[in-house]
Amino acid sequence: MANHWETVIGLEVHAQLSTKSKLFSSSGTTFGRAPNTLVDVVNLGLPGVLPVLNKEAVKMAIQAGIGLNCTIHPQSQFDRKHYFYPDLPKGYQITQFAQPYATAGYLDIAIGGSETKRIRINRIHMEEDAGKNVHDSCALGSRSVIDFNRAGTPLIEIVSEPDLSSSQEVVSYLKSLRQILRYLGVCDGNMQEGSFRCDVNISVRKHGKKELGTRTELKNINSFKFIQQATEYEVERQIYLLEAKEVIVQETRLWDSTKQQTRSMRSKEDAHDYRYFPDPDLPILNVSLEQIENLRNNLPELPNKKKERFLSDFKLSEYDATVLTEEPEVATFFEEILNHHRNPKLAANWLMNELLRDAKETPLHQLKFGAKELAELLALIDSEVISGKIGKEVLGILKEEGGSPNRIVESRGLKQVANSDELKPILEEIIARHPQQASDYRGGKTKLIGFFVGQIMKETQGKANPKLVNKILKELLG
Amino acid sequence: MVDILEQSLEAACQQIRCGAITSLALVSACLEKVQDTKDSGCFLHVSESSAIQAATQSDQRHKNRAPKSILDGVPIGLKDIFITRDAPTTCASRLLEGYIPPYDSTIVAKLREAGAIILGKLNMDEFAMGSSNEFSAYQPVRNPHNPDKVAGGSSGGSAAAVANHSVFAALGTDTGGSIRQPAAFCGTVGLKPTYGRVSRFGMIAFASSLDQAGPLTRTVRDNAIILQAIAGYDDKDSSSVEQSVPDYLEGIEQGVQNLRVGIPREYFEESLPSAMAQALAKTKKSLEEQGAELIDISLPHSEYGIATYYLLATAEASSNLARFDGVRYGNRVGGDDDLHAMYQNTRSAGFGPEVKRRIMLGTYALSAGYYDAYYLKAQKVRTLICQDFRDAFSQVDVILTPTTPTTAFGMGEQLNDPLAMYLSDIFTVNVNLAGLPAMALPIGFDEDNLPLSCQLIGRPWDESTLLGVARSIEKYGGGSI
Amino acid sequence: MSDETISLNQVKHIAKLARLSFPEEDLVSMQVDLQAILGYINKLEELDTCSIDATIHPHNIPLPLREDHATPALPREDVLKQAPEVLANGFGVPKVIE
Repeated sequence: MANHWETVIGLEVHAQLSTKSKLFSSSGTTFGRAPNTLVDVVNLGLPGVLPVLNKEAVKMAIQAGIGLNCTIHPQSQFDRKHYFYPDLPKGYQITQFAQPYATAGYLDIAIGGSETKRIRINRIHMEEDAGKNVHDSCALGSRSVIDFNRAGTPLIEIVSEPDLSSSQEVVSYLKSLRQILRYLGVCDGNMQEGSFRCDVNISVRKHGKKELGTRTELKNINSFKFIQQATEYEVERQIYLLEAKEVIVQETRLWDSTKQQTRSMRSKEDAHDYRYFPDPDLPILNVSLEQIENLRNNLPELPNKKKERFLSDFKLSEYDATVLTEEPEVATFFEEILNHHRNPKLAANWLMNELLRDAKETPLHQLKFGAKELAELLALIDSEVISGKIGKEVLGILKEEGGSPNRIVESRGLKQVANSDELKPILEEIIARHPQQASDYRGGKTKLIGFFVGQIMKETQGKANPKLVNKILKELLG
Repeated sequence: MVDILEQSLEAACQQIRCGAITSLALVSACLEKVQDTKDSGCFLHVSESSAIQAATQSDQRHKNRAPKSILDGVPIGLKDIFITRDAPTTCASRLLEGYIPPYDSTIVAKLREAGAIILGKLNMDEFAMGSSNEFSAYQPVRNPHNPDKVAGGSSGGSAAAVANHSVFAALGTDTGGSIRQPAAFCGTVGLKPTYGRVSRFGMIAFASSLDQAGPLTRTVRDNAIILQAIAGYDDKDSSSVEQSVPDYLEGIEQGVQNLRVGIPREYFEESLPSAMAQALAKTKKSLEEQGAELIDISLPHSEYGIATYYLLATAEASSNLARFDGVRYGNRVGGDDDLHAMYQNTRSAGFGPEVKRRIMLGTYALSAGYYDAYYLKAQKVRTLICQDFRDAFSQVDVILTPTTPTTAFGMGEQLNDPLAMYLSDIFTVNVNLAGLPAMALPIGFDEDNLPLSCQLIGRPWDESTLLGVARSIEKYGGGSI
Repeated sequence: MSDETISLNQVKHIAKLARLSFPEEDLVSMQVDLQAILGYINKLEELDTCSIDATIHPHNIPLPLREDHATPALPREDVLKQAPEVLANGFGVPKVIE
């Protein structure tokens, strides 16, 4: 039954710009401060105050627009959007309605394998965030408490066309969007702290039908997992209702992660009449074509480009290139290793296997050493000064104490023994001690060479050069 | 004691500077005058102790020969629309009764910086909405020339306090005539500078694209002195403009030789009271005699000004007043259990009838389905009105009109007919729509001893020419009080 | 706008949007006032403004921009000083229902 239905999804993403101060005033934007300690007279909406636009926010917004392939408009206008809500200090939000600064972009998302799908972006506009209502504290009884720390924080709202057709596509779009914004350094993408929020507009219609069905909007979901679950639930719910010949109410719904279902929010409120009009406090925003081109030409490399380059220049596997470009921090770390020691495959292996596994607990920027030190270590391995095994030991020391790999190897005497005059007597002694294994080897059990290698490694604390050991052993046992 | 209050602000400044009088003496005399004229309703708050303290400090500076500026030590008054961190700022509304803000408006900061003594906060129509000062939530202001007549509005307290010598100058605001109309009714000089000349930061907004602060004084030169202190770009106000500020006293005595004065026929078609018509004719003649050329001009869209103004101003006001919700400041009414009821009760109890009427009109003009027909239409007509003035100023240097269609009307006369009240702004609103500088200037009295006034309108940023023409009229043409 | 008049229901709707409430008799007089004013405002219909641009700001000036410097916040006691209801270091209001 369900496959008669087609799902149509559009997304509105609110991304917080990583500026130091607010969009229209100068108080700070740090997350998690004590209530009402990051507030100034402007974002508190006191009588008589006026907005002044943050230059850096405009720059970041334009960078996002360019990164998302939008047309950037040299002229845009701020409007007032009116509604009464206690967390909205002025009774209106300053946003861009009639003339947003960016329109008509797109984002190519991965949809399994190497296939991509182009999702059109309708518009991006700048706006200020509202404060926060706190009302889950039992002690407050029938009251809500308003904290205005977040009020006035700069946001961009990225509105997609309804081009998405499954929860997987939704998540793929969001991940890719978040990745681009993080690459550009315009948004930290932290969903728990609300710097990257998503509203999902969902409707379903019979296959082949042109007109859209009635849509519902899912609001304020703060993880990819919940967004996927909520979207799936909501699609199911709508199909179920339509198949039962019931009507879908156009409304905003919330995701209840405990009950694993969506529920209606504020459904009784009248249809909104936001009474938009151009904010008379803010003349038209002019950005010169030159400024736009300048930002375009100096745009940081985006994830797709970087991945392509990793594939072609460094001959990495598809998988390695994907993992290494997922986070801008990782990609930068990787490239920095290569700047000091160019062995991409080795660097990829060590970074992925030895550092990214623990990245949850210890992100790269919290390590006691940098890319340069790791490069130094890899150089020691490549030049056979130490073995890979000793390399891991050195890495362990770096993680604990930091320092220079060269000096660690030097001071702890970890250098490989690559001198046959030194190794030969030891091996002779080992063979002498294990006559049975030696004769078995000679009898054809050539796999036993590993046994002898193990023995000498034990005796030299892993410092013997394995290649040389192999060579000498073959001579002695041959 | 009273005679020291009879002099101009400029004279008082000079007397303080040469040590003939102290700031404290002036402040004390003004405070006494405020007490004597209490019934006029000019003041909403008298900052007695802080004024005395500031005067003492000013006298010390003069003693040390280190005054902050020419204004150091002179008592002035502020319309209660300007945010002051040490005194209540109510906008003559119940909603803000007792509200003490945590910051100073840019204008107030500049005046303090100049050493001026802020004597108190002056009465006005609530949130600057009104043309008679009867819409103050506290008390009406009475006309100093006849207590049965209104002082005009919305800066009625400012005009009356200057006229009755309680202060040497006052600051008012003008959205559709709110400096010029009360100045005309009370016989004072009132200047609305070019939109963007004076910072709006810390001035409680009525209609943001029209509001502009300016001085009310007894003489033209005094007006120039105050303008000098408050004019200039402010990086806290995105609508203020980076234009150089000239020395306003420098060319003020230069006369009007070869100046082209436009006489817009649309402003003289209305049947003006005969005394007013005569005074205007006399003013024109005097300008001609001094060497100015009178040129008949047309401002064809003038008659659409009131309709345009009342749409734009109320729409912006409905938005600007949305912040008064009883959450962060202001007097909350209700709010025990229901949020919506708290909003409604707070706003319904806090706002007076005229404010509510305008919020209703403005909300309607912006609401779904009406925006294009009302708000957008008005913005387009605004373009036509601006164009009229641009065309006119290609022919003339300054425009002369009546300030008001009548002299001060009686208390209560127009209280119940909002449209009639709105129409009394007919000669002043177009100037605000075009963002131009304009002055109201006394030109004598009618048979009932009520002041008569003319309006001068200038090119953008050209307050200097206005002040020069006004000074000529003051010296040779118009009357004075 | 033509000869449309504002109905009592519209007056009620606008009042609700503006968060104002009026006793019934005041609603009627508000309707009368608004009707008179709107009747006058209809005068603008005489003008053909199809090809005219809207004026939003009196002067055609560019929007000035501010450098991204954070300055110290307003002390919390000043933030909350004029609040009608202070609760848990914030502004108390009747419960907001979602």
